[in-house]
Amino acid sequence: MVFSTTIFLFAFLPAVIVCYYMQRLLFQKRPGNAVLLFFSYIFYLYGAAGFLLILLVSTFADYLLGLLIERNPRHRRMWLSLSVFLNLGLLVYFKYANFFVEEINAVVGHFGFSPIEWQHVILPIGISFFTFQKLSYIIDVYRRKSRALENVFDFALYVAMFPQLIAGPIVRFSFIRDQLRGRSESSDMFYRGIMRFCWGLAKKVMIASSCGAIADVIFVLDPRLLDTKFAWLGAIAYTLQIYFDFSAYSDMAIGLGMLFGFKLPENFKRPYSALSITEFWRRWHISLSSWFRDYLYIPLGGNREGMVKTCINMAVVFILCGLWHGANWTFLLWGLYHGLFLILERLIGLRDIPGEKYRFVRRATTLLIVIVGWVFFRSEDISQAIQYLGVMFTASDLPLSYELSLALNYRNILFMMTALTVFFMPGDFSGISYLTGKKGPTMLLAGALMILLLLPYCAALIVGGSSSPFIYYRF
Amino acid sequence: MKKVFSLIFIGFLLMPAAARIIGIDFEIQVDRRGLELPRFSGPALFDNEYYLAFDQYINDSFSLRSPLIFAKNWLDYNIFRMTDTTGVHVGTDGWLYRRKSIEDFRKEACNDNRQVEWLILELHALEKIIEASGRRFLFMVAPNKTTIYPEYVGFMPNSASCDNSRYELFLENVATHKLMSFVRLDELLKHAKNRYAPLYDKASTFWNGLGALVAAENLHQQIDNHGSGLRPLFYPSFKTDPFGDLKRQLMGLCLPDEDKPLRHFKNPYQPDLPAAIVYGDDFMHNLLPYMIQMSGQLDVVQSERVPSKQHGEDLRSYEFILLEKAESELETLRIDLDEIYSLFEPEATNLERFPVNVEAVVPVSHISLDYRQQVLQIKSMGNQSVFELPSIPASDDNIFRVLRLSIETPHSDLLTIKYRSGMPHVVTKSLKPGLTVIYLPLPFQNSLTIQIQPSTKAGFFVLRSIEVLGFPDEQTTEEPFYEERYVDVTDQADWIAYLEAASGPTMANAEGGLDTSVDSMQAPAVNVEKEVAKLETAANNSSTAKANPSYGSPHLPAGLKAMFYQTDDDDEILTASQENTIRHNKFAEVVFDDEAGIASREFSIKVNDFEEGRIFQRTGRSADIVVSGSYSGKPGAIEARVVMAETSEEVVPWTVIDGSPQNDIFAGVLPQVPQGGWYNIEVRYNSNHAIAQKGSCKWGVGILVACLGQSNMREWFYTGTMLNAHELLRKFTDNGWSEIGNQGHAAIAFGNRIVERVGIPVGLLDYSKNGSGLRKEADWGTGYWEDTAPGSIYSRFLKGVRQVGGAIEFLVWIQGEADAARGTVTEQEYATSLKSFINNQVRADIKNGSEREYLPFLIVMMVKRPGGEDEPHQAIRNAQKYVTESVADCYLAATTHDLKNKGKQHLSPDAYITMGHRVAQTVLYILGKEKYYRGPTVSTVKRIDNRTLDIKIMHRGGTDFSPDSGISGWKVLANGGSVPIKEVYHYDSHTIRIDLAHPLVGSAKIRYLYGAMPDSKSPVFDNSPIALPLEAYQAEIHYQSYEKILDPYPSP
Repeated sequence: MVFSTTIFLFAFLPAVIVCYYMQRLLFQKRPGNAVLLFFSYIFYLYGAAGFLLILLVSTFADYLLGLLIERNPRHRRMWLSLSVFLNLGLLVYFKYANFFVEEINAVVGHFGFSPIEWQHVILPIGISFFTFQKLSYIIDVYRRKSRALENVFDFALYVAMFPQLIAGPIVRFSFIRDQLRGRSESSDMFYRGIMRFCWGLAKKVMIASSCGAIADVIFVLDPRLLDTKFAWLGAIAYTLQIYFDFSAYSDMAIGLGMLFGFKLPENFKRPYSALSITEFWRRWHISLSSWFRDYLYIPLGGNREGMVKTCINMAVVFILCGLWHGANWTFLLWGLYHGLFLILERLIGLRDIPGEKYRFVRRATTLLIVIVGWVFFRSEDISQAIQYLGVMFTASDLPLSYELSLALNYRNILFMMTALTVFFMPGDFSGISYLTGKKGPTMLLAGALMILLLLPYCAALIVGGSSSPFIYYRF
Repeated sequence: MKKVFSLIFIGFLLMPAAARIIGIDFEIQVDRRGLELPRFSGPALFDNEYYLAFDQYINDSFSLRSPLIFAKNWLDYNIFRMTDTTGVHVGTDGWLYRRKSIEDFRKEACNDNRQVEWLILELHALEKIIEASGRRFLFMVAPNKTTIYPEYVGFMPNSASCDNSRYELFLENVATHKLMSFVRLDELLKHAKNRYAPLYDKASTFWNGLGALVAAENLHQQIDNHGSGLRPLFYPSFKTDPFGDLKRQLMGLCLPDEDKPLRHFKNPYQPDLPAAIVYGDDFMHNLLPYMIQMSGQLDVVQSERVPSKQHGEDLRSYEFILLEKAESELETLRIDLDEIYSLFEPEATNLERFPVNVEAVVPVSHISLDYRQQVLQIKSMGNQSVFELPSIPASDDNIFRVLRLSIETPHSDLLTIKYRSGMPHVVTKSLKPGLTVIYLPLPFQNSLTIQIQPSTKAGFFVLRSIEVLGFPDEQTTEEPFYEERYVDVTDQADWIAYLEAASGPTMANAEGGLDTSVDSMQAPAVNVEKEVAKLETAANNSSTAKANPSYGSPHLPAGLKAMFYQTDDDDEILTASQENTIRHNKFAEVVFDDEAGIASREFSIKVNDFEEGRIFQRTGRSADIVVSGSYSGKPGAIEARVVMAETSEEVVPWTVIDGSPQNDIFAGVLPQVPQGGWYNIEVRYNSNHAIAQKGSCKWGVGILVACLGQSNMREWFYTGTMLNAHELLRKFTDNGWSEIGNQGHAAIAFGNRIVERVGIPVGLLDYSKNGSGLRKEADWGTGYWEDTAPGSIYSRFLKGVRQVGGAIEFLVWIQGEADAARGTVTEQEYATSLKSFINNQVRADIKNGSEREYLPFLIVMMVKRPGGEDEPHQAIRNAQKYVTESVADCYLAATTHDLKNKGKQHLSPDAYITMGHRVAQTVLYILGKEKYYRGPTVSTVKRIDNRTLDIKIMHRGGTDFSPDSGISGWKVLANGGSVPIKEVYHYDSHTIRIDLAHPLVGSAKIRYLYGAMPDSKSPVFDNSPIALPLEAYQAEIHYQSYEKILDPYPSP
């Protein structure tokens, strides 16, 4: 199930809120985990009916393995390995098997051998996210940073909690452990949850979809009709789309968590205000980048074994980070591209420049690098990416195509112009914090307007079919 | 305060549910698909399709849908001046245009010049023959709104193309060679638009009442110029839809139904005026009130094809024919000149005929032409064979010419005509067995070269005659009507003044928005809608001009048979006369490849072997086979025979097939090859038997069955690998003939059973297409079967049929899910379309190879579908059942409700075996090998007491049924709910008893295996050898009698 759908907004969400608080009313001393778990499985079933069993079985397996690691100190390494093998095995099979077989078939085909017969594997929704969550749990238990959970339902809720099940943020077990049993809901938190959810919904349905409409037209435009300005427009539109799309999901997830008393980690922190690529990755998809840092980069040796090893570690991490997004050479190249800039920044010491120095140039340069990177990410294949970048960096001027003129309507332009403000906002500014953080009638009125005007408009866009699925939904 | 906002939020989320519970009905009716809640079941729980259907249902039916969509569309239109509706373009000042007309506005039609030239040529041909037959013909193009009001289109990127719209190309061409019947309206409307109120409404695609009036006045003058004695036009009032079709689309509102039957009107004021027929589109709506006044009786057809295929109108009944086409739809106009000329040519006067000597036809490549007995015999080798017609006079400004070709052939094929000079163009025509007369308009140029490829495969043709029909222009000073000839509509100044007053400000200051421009145009005259309806009703009660189509299969004329099927005696005669006729024979130069090596050897013969595994459709118990090949030397005559492939035992003795082979090519018919196989073909010189060749490929004569439909037919050939196909069973696809092997349970079970009982080869033509619909609305991207355009799935199928010889013996149809999906097609629509598909497409285009009067059409009922919706599925099943009962030689080949599902809407491998056996049973029944093919059916429902119902069943192949108890699938519905059933069991061999848990009061519905996914855990089977299931049933019983005679599927 997707947040920006009629069924979620008008059936699932009210149902879960009503049931959760009814349960709280009836059994005041128990947190409503059972209700949340039940609805989380319904949520998953609705989007990936055939894969619920995989989620259930793998969850139960990791629950048992966690207990075994804790209670069986002599074989804890073996249980850890088994868990890592199972989790990564499932992830590799579902996410990468098709890719590997296609590549192998392409190679063997060149040599005249018959291809491997292969039934295309369908990717279970959210597998990249819940696999990483379970791994963080197992590794934390192994490292004795956390105690294993005794209650299987609590563990199941940690893995499957619907706000973050499909597209994150990837919640560390240590971050949420206490909240599973000891959280408390309040009307203030509930209000802020609503505001955050509506904020995310508006970002997704209005802004990301409008930017996406422009980007989609440009990226599939006949290359003969594409010139420099439109290529840049497409790249910028996609840069905005992916940020507003993914951060909107995170906003909605965090907001939904707050409705039930959970405080989920922030996933974005104005990434397009970053002064370097290193900083960009501290602000973009924070839960993923910190996961890679803590569970891959540091175990590989981090920056403690000399510059060369550090650079290698960084390259490995970012190649895997790219591949995490999907089985395609474009993602790998995107990861490598970012990795190379990170290495470069480390080598020439750019990351060590004091914050205020050359601020504008550094911010603009970083943004430029990021925009170019998104071209790899968005392209269907590497040749398209190269062709597209060629147009971006070669001067050409063509008349506006009819298809693009349709996408450049007032609505899309207005919302894209609104989105463009993120390029210029201060790095520490947060719109939603501004709306909800301050007391006073003005902010409350703004909140009310948001609920009374934006929510129905978003709902109308959803019902009218103007909204597209989340980009990160497919990862 | 925060709590208040939180409550508002929760309240908003709960509002749809609350509105539904309270039953609030919003007045705005946004277009819905009318989906039903998908049926829940255990397996559906893990089926993504179920959730997809559920999602669609929620989106379609939730109570805030209408106001939300309306509000969003309103905002998009009024604030952002845009729309997400793909068919609508938003211009400036709120003007709306049809998106398709924007293509014309952008003038990108340069590549369409050939098409436009051809269209004009066809219109010339149409005009000439209609007028030569003493009738009137007019053609008009209703201009796009973009043509009349380009100033409101708004910003439009420059086109990189040639700066010509299709209509401009049309006008350019018409200006060169005047089309007298063309009534040009665009200039008149442009002229009139600055003088009066808007001629097109802001929110509509079509002209409004005033625009129609301008067009009508000009038509009126054009007709009256010929002394028709028309009265001045009476101006009725118009009630315009305030929204207009475009704004309706834009706002997402329901559009009116598009059912467009033949409509009849009578003119009460001048009933003696000539009868007229109009072929048009929605522009006709506002023009009709005027058109009615210009004829005594008016028939209106909305069709892209002239004459239409589905309305059955007889063009000879009309004295005046008007063809109206919207500018943006010019490309869709289809004129069947062959049909129209065959109707009117006998009545044509002032028609000059110039016979062309068929002797003058010359070969171009790979073809043998033999002139004898005043006709030209053509032996074609297939795709490469081409001949050229002698130079013929083309059309000029004084005389328009049409080429008339009479071609006779014993088989169906596709003939391709290429205009080689001046205006290169390619036309394809279907040849059917027997005589086909083809009419080709000749372009305006000095000389013309036409080449013809007579067939796509080896075959025989007789070119009986070539004629050029000339239509000399009458010496008239009259100018064509499309030249500057503005009609002053102010003759009726009062009415115009009224219109201007009623419609408020004129164009220059029309700021009133969409809803005000024409809404108030209520002249104090009669209401046209009512008048039109009244006239229509009156006309419907009178006799109508309708043709009675017949669907008999064509028979080869005896003369042609005698010519093709030479006996030994014939051969002697021909051989004796060879010296006399040889001078008439002309041959194309034949070049053979090195492998054949024919040309380099002095005496040799090579047969064009048949494709391995090919099956020829039998006619009766045998088939006539066309044998062709090549030779070198002087054979005198060529003989052929058929032997068994395994034993070389002779099946058909040596027979002369070509008494006068010429220029290294021979071709002839080997008659009466008995059904059976596998065979080999052998050919030899009759003068030197040592020069012979035996084909190496196995072929046979048997039964061809076309397999059409969507995925469940596709699965016939793919699901299941546990059976092995009989040696005599083959399948045919676009890739040719192939063995079936062990894949495809249904196909193998079906084919094997027939082969085992009949003992002859069976060929299955696999032409299903996943997801294909029957009707256009059900085209979900993989095509639909009513589409006859080149490249369509139906055209592909026809091509396949032609490749196997043009005839088949059975057609099996498994389809319907695509039309049922989302309730897209109604029962009535599906039934009408399926009947038309059977009668007007399949049976018109394909030769009937069976011994039945019509090609047997076997329908397999749709299978169960978890997650599907009851009503749409049942509607399609009802329609299928209705068609089997109302169309001759159409059979309910198998019911499938009892078969086990696998996946969404497909069956388990074992279930496909059962399905295959059931369809085979139907085939065997038609062949007279079985006495029954359908299972038992309910005859009566009888109330025993208020808790007991007896279902009387009528057996067909069996005498009793099972199981004895625990029968599932029955439902009793009363008082808006389901009446609990206690037990359903076997009472006696003809009775099922239902014990109800609650007493039954009032009327009730009894259903058995009803809907998308009926409960068929334990259905009723008879005790016939193949255990056929009790057929689905639905009927209403009433309290008075509680007895209902069988009528499970009321006719749509």
